[in-house]
Amino acid sequence: MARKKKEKKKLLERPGIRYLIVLGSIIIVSTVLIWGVNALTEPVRERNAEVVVADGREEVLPAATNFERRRLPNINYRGEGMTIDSIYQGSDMHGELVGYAITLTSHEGHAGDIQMIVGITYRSNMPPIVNRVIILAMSETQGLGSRAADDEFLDQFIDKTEIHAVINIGEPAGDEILAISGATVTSNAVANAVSFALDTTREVIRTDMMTDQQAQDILEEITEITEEEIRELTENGYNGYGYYQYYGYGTGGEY
Amino acid sequence: MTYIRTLLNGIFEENPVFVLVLGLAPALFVSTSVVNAVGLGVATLIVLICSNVVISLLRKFIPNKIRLLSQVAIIACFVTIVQILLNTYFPDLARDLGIFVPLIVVNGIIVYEAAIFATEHSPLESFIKGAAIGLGFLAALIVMAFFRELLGNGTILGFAVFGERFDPASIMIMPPGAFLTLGIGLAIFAAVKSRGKENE
Repeated sequence: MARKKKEKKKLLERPGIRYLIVLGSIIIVSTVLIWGVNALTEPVRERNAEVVVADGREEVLPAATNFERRRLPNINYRGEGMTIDSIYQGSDMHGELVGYAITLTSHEGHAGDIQMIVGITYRSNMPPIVNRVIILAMSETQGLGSRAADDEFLDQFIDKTEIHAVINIGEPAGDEILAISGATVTSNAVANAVSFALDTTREVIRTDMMTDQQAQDILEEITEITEEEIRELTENGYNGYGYYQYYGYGTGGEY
Repeated sequence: MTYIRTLLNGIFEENPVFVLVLGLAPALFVSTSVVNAVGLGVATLIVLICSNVVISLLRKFIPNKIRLLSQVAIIACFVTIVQILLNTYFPDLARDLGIFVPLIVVNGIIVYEAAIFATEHSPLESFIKGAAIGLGFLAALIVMAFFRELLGNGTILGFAVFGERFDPASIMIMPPGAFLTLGIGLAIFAAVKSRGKENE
């Protein structure tokens, strides 16, 4: 018994154990402190981020004076390697729809996520057009991928209705984007995201037309789709491909 | 009285940048504008005071063998907190300072003060010494940034000082300007010091 006690004492006296306790307690206290400060300031940061996004919306769609958030259950908020954070519909002071501001995050960046806002102008019976793209947040390599936030790269997206390819060399054609040299991954991530924002806008517009009874009747006539089939499609989760085929919008070739 | 003397000492006779020649990388990098200089200077000052006091309080509990390791852990904790606060309340400034905020952890001034001074002095003395050296660093950054921003950009705190006809010498904003300014500062301090010795 006495021997056991002696051993126990020895254990605590061993320098290695003491180092472990001292360093361990410093690290535990530090972690708790950092966690506390982080948790306390989190709401402020969230509010700041909202303000930044709101300012960004006005920047990418200056024609709009009023923004209204759209939450559409049938829209696919998750694309391949990216997520849509929010869809806002912008209207001018007469209440006329002028376009959409789509905030989305690409997970395909070279060094983490890239968050951006894509402003898309839309007039009825015209294809949606990219008005402006701005990068909100990214952690790409300084001097290479970070140049994705420069106007020189982002201005290429202006007035595009579609983005077919990102090229590395040469003169970009109508629906092509010239990649930033040395940062193909970043360029692709941004271009894919803008392309996805355009797709999403088209889906939103289609959805809005769909709820319009008249449009729906005409479309049903063309495609002879039964109401049950529509319900089935909607209930089973929106599938963009299906709608294009049924409604005869687009050609399907673009996918 | 001695405390005021320590404070003045930190700013002039023991100025970390112009006399001890410590913490040069951040000093060269952020002295492009007065706002950035104040931002990093204050962040460093806060970390320096907090880490000095805590290291001094714990100096009897920390075994010698893990002293440096523990000190770096403590400094890193304060730097992380300062960084979170900067990101929250001054996001633009935090973006401009970039990597130099987390790099305060390895700022020579702080490690030097922690290892040399705080381990052997009382918390109050460590507080005063930390404040003195921190203010010295802040003052050096502001002086460098003042001249670089004024000559390189024609502004102070973003406000245009000279008329529109002023053509700024952009070399002062670029890295060579940082070394020029630092060199002139070092020369002035060295000259004053040697003059003082001659008089004695």
